[in-house]
Amino acid sequence: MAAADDSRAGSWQAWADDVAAAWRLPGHGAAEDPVSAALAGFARFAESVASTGGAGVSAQAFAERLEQLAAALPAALDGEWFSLPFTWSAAWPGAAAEEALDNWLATTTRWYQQALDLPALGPQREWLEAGAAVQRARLREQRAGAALARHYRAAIAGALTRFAAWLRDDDPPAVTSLRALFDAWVGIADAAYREQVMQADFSADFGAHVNAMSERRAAEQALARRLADAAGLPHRAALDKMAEQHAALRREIDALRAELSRLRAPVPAATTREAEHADVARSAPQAGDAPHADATVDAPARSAAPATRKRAVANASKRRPPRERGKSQRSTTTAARKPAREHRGTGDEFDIERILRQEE
Amino acid sequence: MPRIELSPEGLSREAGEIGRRAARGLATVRGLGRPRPGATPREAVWRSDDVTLYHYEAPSSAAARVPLLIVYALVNRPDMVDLQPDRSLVRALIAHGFDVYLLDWGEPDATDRVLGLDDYVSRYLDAAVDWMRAALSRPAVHLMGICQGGTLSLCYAALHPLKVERLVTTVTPVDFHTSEDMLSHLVRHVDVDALIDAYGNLQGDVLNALFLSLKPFQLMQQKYLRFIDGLDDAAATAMFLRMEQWIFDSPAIAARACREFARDFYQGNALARGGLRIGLREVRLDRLTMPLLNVYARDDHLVPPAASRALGALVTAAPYAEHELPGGHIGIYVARTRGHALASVIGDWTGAQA
Repeated sequence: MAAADDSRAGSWQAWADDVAAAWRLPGHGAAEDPVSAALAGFARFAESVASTGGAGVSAQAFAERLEQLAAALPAALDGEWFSLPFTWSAAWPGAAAEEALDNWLATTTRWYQQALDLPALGPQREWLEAGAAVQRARLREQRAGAALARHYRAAIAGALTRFAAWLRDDDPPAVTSLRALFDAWVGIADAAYREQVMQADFSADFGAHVNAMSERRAAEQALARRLADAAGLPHRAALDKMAEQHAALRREIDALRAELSRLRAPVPAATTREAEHADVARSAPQAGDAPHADATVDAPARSAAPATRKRAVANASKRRPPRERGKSQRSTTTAARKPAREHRGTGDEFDIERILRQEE
Repeated sequence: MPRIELSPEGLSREAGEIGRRAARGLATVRGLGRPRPGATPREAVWRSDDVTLYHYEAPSSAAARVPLLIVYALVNRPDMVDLQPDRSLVRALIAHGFDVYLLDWGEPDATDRVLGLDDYVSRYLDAAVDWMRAALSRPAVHLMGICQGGTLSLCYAALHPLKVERLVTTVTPVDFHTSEDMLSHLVRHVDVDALIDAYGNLQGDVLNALFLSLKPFQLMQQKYLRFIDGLDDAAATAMFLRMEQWIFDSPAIAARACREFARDFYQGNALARGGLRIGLREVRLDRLTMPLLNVYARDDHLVPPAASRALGALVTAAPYAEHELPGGHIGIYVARTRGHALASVIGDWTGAQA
């Protein structure tokens, strides 16, 4: 396993790259492969540790190194320090550049926003409006993302500072392996991250970012719907409408099926309104409910009479055996079993088609 | 100042050992093939749309056994309850005398986005319970809810109290506004209606990312290094791969159900505060009458113990017991089959109730 880059030969990163390359499954990139990613992160950690020592690593030197990293964030995140899960936020500039970028963004965004806010004119005005809505939403998402990235950066800085403080602690356990040091880092980093996340303004900024994403996506969907209409294609609203109608029909069929089962069942001595109160006698086996009815009986839909059971078992035996998963097994009937144990019903009492045939 | 005893030679040795172990492990992993969760023979006995009721094979007469329906969450798949023979809650429950059924919610697709909690609770779950009551000739069944499945079971039991003989909730969120609840904190300011309108079904990958973000360093880094540590052990590696498949084999959540759960439970905290409605009916936990056992995990980072224990104050008309188990949100289920603590707690409680 030789490092490809001579300048990195013998480094932890080269080692991790080599191990990860050996590990990586064909067709899996590093981003998809958590083992390789973990190895690479561990290597960055190891490089940071190793870079502090000469003949050996001192806690003092390592703590100083961490504090330097915390002060240099986010530049330190860029490859030198292991930065999950904030890799994407590392691309955001540091505090010094941030102010300049904020100013630049504010200015350019203002110009852009002003352009986007201009009323659309001409025969294509509705298309222009829809396109501008997408761009406005993207700007809002960008701003919300930047606000959230600041929290992630603060979480990393907090983790590094805490870790340094732990290293400077007067009475910590002796650390005799890199893995033990790494495990200590993980515990401290997650605790620091949690502390940041649990702040009220993180929650607000997280929500704002998700909301901005939703807004952007809705704007894109509106544009896509316009395109679909123009191309004569169905769009999601049409499919949703169909799905809603289908679901409503299924609910109705299920309610009818339950009602038919109840009517066909050997009727117990009495029927009882569904228990709405806690003091309903629990011992009454015939009492109960149904999902969408105000007052129903609750007799368990017992298996049909022996003759019916025999026929139902025969029907059931003709069915394809159920597979564990898969849409192809989607069924409007509920029986999905082999003729089997005597203690179980056949499921055919829920077979609406069979019941309706018999009713005829 | 801690004593760090790391020399350059020691670091090199450690790196070399990790590399060798990873390389050896590659062969181990290749030899294991694709992991297949599931250890106990089972049969699909009822199905409606994508929802399936499974019955697990028991070695002796099922007639004398206590029928128990496991209601899983809409999040993740239920394979975790029967991961492998020596790590199976199902087998442990069977060993404790239960006749085990499991409700699998299936995998919602785009056409299922209109399914709401009313569909899941009062249509699918209710129909499955009715099937069991009919098939077993019993007026009511025992329910065991897992995580969100426990929340749904509570709703079901409150709406249909006569169909539930006993209820066991495990790592079940009830109060969604406890101070330690990270998920609730993240969701607090999200415009759920806008999110669901724009994205539809909440995809499993999004949920996975959210869960990973709760402990990112442990779950995205340390976990895989520990995996490498254990690569010499083929059995441990196989179990890791099964768990990994289960964790990331996540179905989407139907849009309407997701909207209702996030808005009414996570944001509104209506189950604890009161005023929750499923369909047209109000869910009132103070109307639960059946004996109820509430089990929570001491180190649960997804459902903090306080979020589960809140149930005790809300259940006023039912015999209530709660039990703390050491371990995390998943660990209490995938414990060793022999001496499975959760199964023992449920078995003992059920025996004491009988």
